[in-house]
Formats: sequence, structure tokens, C-alpha cells
Amino acid sequence: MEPVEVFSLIPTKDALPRARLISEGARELGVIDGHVLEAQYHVPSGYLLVTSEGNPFEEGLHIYLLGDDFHINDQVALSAIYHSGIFGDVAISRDECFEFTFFGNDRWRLTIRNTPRMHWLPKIGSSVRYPSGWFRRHYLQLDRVQ
Amino acid sequence: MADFRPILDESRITYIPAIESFAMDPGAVADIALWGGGPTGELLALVSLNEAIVEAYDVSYVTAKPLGDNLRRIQLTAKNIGQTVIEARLGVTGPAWARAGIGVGITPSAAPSGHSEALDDAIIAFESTAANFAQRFIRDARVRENYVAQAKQVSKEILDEVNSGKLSPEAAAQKAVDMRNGLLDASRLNNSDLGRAISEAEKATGKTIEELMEKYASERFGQEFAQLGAAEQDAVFIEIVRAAGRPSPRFTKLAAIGGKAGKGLLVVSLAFAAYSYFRPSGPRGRKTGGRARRRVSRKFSGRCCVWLGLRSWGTDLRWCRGSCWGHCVRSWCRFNVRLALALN
Repeated sequence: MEPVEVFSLIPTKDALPRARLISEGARELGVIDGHVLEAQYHVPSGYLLVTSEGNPFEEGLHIYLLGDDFHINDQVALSAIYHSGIFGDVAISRDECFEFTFFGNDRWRLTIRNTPRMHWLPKIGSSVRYPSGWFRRHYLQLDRVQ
Repeated sequence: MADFRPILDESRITYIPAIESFAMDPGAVADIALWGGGPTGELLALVSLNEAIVEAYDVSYVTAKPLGDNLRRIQLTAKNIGQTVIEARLGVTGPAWARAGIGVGITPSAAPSGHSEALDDAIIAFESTAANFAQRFIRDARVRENYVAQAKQVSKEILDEVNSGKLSPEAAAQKAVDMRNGLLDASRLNNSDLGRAISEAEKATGKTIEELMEKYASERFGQEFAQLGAAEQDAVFIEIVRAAGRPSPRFTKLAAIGGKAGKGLLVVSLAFAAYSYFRPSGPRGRKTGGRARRRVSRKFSGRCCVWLGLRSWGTDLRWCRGSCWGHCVRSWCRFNVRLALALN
């Protein structure tokens, strides 16, 4: 997993914090959640993007897994109502895994699975959401480690 | 004769004698007592009508603490939020000899019905659950509205003070951070128990001004805050004040949807209450009596209420006033009054 500078964001004027994702060569790849591009990495299965909504007092973090063809393969979000958050203290441990802090004294680990795993039911009240829906297979797994 | 009753030293469950029901928190494990047996002293079978909400086991013979003569210790495990009924039956599929309502995460508002019809139980459970959830959703939506308005107002007022020279950008940023963190804490506290459970899923630690200074210095200028010039530092401070006036629109939208759903739920629960009450023989054993045609009218009224309630699920009820919906509701009320008078 290595940091790259391949993508950029152009915020849309939607009510929700969303942005147009632009790749190198000014190719527009679609609209994704988030206003601020926090980090972007090249991973064995493609690219990993981390975006935030730009509201640190009540932040939302969105992590996207893109294939080499820039198609979005998976997405996971981290946010909690009435909670401030700043993406930081990133530590890349392996090719398919990195850790970061967000809400405060917490620590999260994102793992990219080689084979997707089914998430059967939504976890109501959890800070981790899969916007593409439950009852689907997901490559990204976000766990709280501290 | 038999009945469920509380155990004196058991604090994990609350007994509500008026409605012969118990209330407990999600995840709690608590003991209650079952007194009595069948007509000739038969051992009654224990059944939870919804094991996804509460599991009930007889632990009289596996605990070292006997409760007394003719008393069995029943252990309840609260699995999920909701309301259900436990019964002590004469045989697993036989008639209920004793019954008690159990609310998990909610307080039951009605006694369990006198007989075991699944529909009646479902109506009571739904009515009670819907009303409980409704009041929580509505309250949380109001808290959110207040939070959004105050966050915007605080940010605007502080910016005005900076523009008029009353506050330095640094002092303004500090004030904005303090006030916004206070607002976050207050909103979490003012939420309903359900809202608080969700909003306290993570340990809240408000961001310090230093963290925000570094964030915006890096984001806007790609440098550490200490390396910035005075004008750039002021720009970072102003950006912090502006950020304090930006609540997450995603959560605001969710709370608004919850508020509307809560209003819909409230109407649905009232409708079910009316429907249950006006049934010829209600699940609570109330006999409405009267002529069959009156019962038909009342049943019709109840069903209309249900329909109206369901219809308003996604509709802000304020919109009903002065709209065609308002007209329909008024017409329906007038029609029903006339029909009732005519049939009497």
C-alpha cells in the first residue's frame, strides 16, 4: 500500500457533502461521498480513497476501494451523530491493511479482503456503515482495534 | 390459579402491577417468580410468545436459592428491544393459566390480553412499541433542529464579532470550539434514551483547537500551523469558526426522516388503540356491547384511522392542515358522527 496522487475531488453543490471524483487526465469518474480527499493509496487490487465531509465537529469518513479500471468495488463509511472526528495518525501495516484514528482516543483498522465477505444484516447504531447495503459481499472490513 | 410476580431483591427488572407487566433493559438477565399451578396442581409450561425479544427459562432446580413454597424461579433474558408476553400454560399448547407483559427497552403501556390470540398480542405490542418509538423519534428530531439552529447562530454571531473587531480571529476560534463542543454534549444528553444509545456508541472527545488548527493548516496550506504567516493563521482561525456552523447534513436529514416517521408512528399507534378499543370484544377484555351495526361503524372508524396513520407515515402532518388531507379528515369525522347518530 503506497500513497499516490492520482485523484482529486470537485465538491458538488448538493445538500449532502458529495464531490465529483476526477482521475489523472481530468477524467470524471462519478460522484462520491465527501468533500475532502484525505488520502489515496495504490493497493494490489487497485486504489483506496479516503474522503471526509469537511465537518470536523461532526465528521463522516468514507473509504472507497476502486479497481484498476477506476470502478468502485466497495465502500465503507465511519461516522457518529454528535461526534467530532479527524482522520489522522495513519499507520500502514501491510499491503492490505492500515490503521488510523478518528473520533479521539480510538483506533480503527481497515482490511482489504482478497475474497469478499457477506454482511447479512445491518448493524443498527454502529458507527460503521456500508452504504452499498447489507446482504452483500464486501471487500472492505473496518474494525475498531482500540 | 397462578401468576407471575416480582422477586424482592431483584433490581434488574421493574414490575408494573397496574398492567401486570415487567420492564427490563436490553441485554439484561433477570429473575421473576411464578406462583401456583394448574387447577389440580399441574406443573405449568413456560412459553415466551416472542423469543427474539425475551427468552424465559425455569431455573428453580438449577439455582441454590429456592423462593418458597409453590414458587418457581423464572429467568428472563432480554434479547432485543420490543414487547412480548410470557405465559404459563396448562401444557405447551394448552390454555394460559398466567400471563405477564414484558417490555425490553420500552415501558409497556397496556396489560397483556386475556387470551392468546396472536393478532391481539401483535396489535398490543405494536401499539405500545410504536408509541414508544414515536415519542423518541419526535424528541430526537427536535433536539437535532435545535442543535442545527444553534450551531449556525453561534458561528454567525462569532463571525460578526470578528468582523466588527470585538474579537480576534484566535479568540473567536477558541470560543467557537468551546461552544460547539458544548452543543455536541448538550445534544447527546437531550436525546431520548434510544438517541443517546446511538449517539454514545463512540466515546465522545470534542476536538481541541490545536487539532483543528493543524487540520486546516495542512488542508488549506499544506504546512504545519506554526510555519504559517499571521494572515494565513487568521485564515485558519476563521475557517474553524465557519466549520463550527456546519452540522452534518447527513445526520440532519436522518433526524428529519426520523421525526416524520415518529409522527406517522404516533398516528398509527393511536389508530391501533382506537381499533383495539372499539373491537366488539377487545383484546383487553373490554366489551363494547351495543348493536352490531354500531360495532361495524366503529370497526370501520378504527380501520380508517389505521389507513390514515399509515398514509401519513411519510407525510409531515403539518402539511395536513388546510390541505386536501385536512379536508378528507374533516369530512370523514363529520360522516362518522352523522352515521353514529343515525344508527343510534
